[in-house]
Amino acid sequence: MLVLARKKGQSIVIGNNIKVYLLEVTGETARLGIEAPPGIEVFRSELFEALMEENSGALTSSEEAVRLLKKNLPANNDKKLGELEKER
Amino acid sequence: MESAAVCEQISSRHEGVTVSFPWGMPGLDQDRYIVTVPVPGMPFYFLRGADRPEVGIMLVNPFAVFREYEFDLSEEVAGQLKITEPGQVAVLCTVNTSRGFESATANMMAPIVINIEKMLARQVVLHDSGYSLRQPLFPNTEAKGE
Repeated sequence: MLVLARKKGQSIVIGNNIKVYLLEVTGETARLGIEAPPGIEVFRSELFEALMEENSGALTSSEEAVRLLKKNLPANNDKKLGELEKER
Repeated sequence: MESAAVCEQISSRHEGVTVSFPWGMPGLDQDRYIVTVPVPGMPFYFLRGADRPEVGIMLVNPFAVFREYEFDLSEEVAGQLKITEPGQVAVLCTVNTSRGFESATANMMAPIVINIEKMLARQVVLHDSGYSLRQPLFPNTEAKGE
């Protein structure tokens, strides 16, 4: 891992068009500003990892999906959805 | 966001619709998926890899289950998906049934936004929206395995 020391207000450049600024340091928290081209999405790492985990954890077979839906729908689930609507 | 009519468009196509995800889906390895309706008449869909059809993810029309769900589509994403009018937009959320159907959760924080005319889609993260990655679909139902 490349390690760089930066002072408040200084920045680094990644590739041709991504710039990361160190805006503020308070205790153990650093505030970063990121300039990136459209299409480059910036995430907090823990959110990105949670999303990856959620997507891969949701994988199932279509047979299983059909089985679950047929088992629970329509009568049961109509009722559940109806109850849900009432709650909200 | 008007989504029901667009979801009906998907439902009307028995063989499913093939949708491009040029930005992929985090944690998954494909960029082309087929959206089908596993059980007609319900707000549930199924997203399977166009090139690896054996696995996929169950989807739900979030507006059918959470009437108050709403978010603003950023201009950036609307541009990326070539969305020019609301009628082109379908929104579906992934459903996780790994803990059983009764405990199923929907990913409301990262809905899949589809331009149903251009067949372009992206999983959009609603940063700081307060919506959950694992919103229980049936919060009043006691979990009983399935």
